[in-house]
Amino acid sequence: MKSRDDVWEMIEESRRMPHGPSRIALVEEALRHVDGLGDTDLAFAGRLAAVSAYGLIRPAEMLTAFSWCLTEFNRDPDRRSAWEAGSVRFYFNHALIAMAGSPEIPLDRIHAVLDDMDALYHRGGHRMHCVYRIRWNVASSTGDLDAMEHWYRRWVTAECDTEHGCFMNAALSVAHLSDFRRDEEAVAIGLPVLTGEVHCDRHTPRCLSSGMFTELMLPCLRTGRWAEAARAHREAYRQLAPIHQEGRGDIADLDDLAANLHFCGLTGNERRGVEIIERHADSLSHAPTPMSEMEYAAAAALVLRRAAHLGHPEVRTESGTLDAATMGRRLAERATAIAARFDARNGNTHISDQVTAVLTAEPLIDHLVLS
Amino acid sequence: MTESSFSSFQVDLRGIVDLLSHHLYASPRVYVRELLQNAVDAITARRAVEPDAPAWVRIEPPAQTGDGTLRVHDCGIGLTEPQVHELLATIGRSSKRDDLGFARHEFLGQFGIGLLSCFLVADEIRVETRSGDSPTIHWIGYADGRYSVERTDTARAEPGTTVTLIPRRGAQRWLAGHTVTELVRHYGSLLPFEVSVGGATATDGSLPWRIRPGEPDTARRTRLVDHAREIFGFTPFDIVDLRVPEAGLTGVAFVAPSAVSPAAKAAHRVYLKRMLLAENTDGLLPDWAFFARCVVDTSELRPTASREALYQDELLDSTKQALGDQLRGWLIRLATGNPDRLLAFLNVHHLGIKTLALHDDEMLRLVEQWCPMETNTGTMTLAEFRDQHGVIRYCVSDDEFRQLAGVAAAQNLAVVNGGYACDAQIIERLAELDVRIVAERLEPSALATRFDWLDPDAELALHAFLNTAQAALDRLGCEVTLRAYEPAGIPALYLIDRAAALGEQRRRTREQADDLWAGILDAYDTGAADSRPQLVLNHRNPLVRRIVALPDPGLVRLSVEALYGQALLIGHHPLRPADTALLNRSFLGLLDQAVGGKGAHEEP
Repeated sequence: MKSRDDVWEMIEESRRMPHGPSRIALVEEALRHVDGLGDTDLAFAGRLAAVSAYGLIRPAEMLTAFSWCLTEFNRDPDRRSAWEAGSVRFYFNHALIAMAGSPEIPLDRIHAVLDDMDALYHRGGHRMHCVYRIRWNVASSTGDLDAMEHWYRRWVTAECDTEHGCFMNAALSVAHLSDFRRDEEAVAIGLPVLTGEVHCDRHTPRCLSSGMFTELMLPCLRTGRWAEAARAHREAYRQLAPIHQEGRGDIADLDDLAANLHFCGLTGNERRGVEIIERHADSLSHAPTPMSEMEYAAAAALVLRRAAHLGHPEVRTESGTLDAATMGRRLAERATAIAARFDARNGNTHISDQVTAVLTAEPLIDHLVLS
Repeated sequence: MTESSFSSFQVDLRGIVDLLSHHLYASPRVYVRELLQNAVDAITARRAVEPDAPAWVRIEPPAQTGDGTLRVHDCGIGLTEPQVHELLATIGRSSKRDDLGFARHEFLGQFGIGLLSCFLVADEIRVETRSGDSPTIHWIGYADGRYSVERTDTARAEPGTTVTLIPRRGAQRWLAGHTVTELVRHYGSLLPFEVSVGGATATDGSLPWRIRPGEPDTARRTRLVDHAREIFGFTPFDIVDLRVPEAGLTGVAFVAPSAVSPAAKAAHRVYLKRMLLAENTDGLLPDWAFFARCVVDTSELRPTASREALYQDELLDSTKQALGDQLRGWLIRLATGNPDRLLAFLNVHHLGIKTLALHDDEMLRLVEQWCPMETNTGTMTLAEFRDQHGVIRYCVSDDEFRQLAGVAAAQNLAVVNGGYACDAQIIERLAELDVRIVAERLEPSALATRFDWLDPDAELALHAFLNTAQAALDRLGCEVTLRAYEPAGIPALYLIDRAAALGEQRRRTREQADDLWAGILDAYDTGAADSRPQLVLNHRNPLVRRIVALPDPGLVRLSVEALYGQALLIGHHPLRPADTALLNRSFLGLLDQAVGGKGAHEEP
């Protein structure tokens, strides 16, 4: 049996560790001891550290810990420090991204959680920016195009209070505009970041510009800005690859990886696409949510179909080698099946339309030279 | 009725300079760096076309000029009249140089912003410049944005540029001779040509790590050790030469002689084209190389707009990797050539090396061969462990190792303690990489499968006992099994797997959650039966043998509860309130039995 101090130290230690299995193991060890000590503050800190450690790598476990925190927070909100309260508000984002990415979570529950988040922000007098943005996010996962446009307008005009909000917002704006094929507008926001005219001098280890570059690839391609598209891909993948090798791989990372594969499939870079698939062979079996699994499978299927068409032979997988055509077909089926589950929940075909578009895409350029 | 007309905004340069001084530059002192940089760039540009051109910068502080101004003379390439117009008239425009990366090698594009920073300390700047045989040009700029350009009749004797600063009120101290000398030494001590302030030379002229002709290795080493002491305050464990041609980078890494926290910011000293960029740059080496601190000079890496840090781009990434390779090479050379030194190094920096091994195959081999690990058969390296035991079986936490090491040893099961730092991950990665290496996490329940079963007759005879025992522990979510195992001194073991712990978390969270969240958590329940924690009673233990033979179910119950509590305590398991209550009850009940009371163990 560990003392309170021991467990506090474990929790603190976990917060200092990089994301990954060891951090999760330490937090789980701490959680086993937390409840026996009968200290609610300690239990709260442990659960909060668990939410942070699981992040978007292990959504199911993250939601369990988050739900615990939320219940306890609602039971006695005044007992929590401003930092803890802020964390609870912030992790609603994680919870909702995880839920929206799992077709087994019904819409009414997602909206009920959104409303709880909304009420929490309102009651505390906090800026609503975050809430609008996550509503936009959810709308995009549930195929509600009107809501997407509505909440997009709300969050881009609302005041933002996070330090790196500007970059995050810009990246998501590009995503939204790209979804609606407003490519020139997307390029207008994203290109200055790519060329360095606008940049963040602080450059956090993984500056949010990586997400921006990922989103920028398609608008650049569709408007024939080949060199810019190639550069966006190089920059995006450069920042992404090491994260995967370190086995972190959360939802956003797998989505970004999928977008980069999609890019390879559209630009005649099948060979590079296959390389990426082989390098991250274990990505799919560790997919954090069905949504990220689907996006990755669809993009990989596109690359493999094209590669097989061009006579590419076998592809290395986690469990041996497989010919490109067969592997591509299997992944396409996998993506289509998951999309159908989303459609059933969403009551529309937005997600499967997106998947079909990726699966059946044809190259926009014969071969885009990347270097 | 009014006529429409277009006007330009009046841009207040003073205001912009103030903004810059507060946001772009850390302090007005950078004006010296920018002036030096301009002179250096001009000289470099001239020498590119005229290799034998002279190279010097002479700075006259107010004590020499006598009129309160500061003058900086260089023998660089100078500017022609059109260039002066283009560059000085559009000062703001050249500010993009760092962002776009063009003009990196050109002196011209950078001149303007360099001068701009002089307005941090000056109200008026005069530039006299001559390029080749072109006429000498005079430019005068004022802090409010006005400027004038004219040719002069008196030509400069030689090509080059003189910049004169007329100080701003209150900024005179930044121009004083000793301050300028100090700043020139700080930024420019490594410049490859003479920079003088008030007639005294302020530069050393040579890179400390350059190999001097005829200098013995030991003398160079002593010189570098002194350098490390001076700038980093330690006597290095070793010195590693660094060279990355694509980044135009040379330098040395000093290996720290004592443990460094991996989380501490690794402050490296970076010179850009022999001018000091920053003394505390991080992100130059891969994170794992936290045991080294570098002094380097680079010609190709890009500074940020403030010129106070390195810009993160592809070149910096590849440079970082190349520097990492060179440090790794040094380690490998130690391993093959000087194992004792390697052990001494590992003794100090094993944490960093293990972190490194998580990403790097060669380092992984190094750790496998050289790093001692704790096992339940003594301290040894993973390579030795594998030689002796084949499979690398390991625990993921120190606590788990303490609980299971002894029992596992009694089953002839050798186990490595993977609970330190990232040892468990190292073992896993080793097995991933090499098919010949098999690693297995010791799942507590798997240990139980090594225990002997009772023969079927004996098991059948104990059926009633097992039912009673199970009933006693059901409400605690624990499963009771009876096995025979060594050491016989242990009556019972409490074993819990990760899946069981997670299942427990989910169940308990769900119980207190509202309907909304209960429903959400249910959606994630895979439906697979959660494995439950087990209490494994040891039939070889004499006390257990007597307990299973007890005729009184009440006493059986009490005894099993006590064994359960004891197993939790011995195994350092957490005690939930229900566990604590049970411990209390069984303790009092047993006491009651011991003093011959009646009924205490029978529940109402």
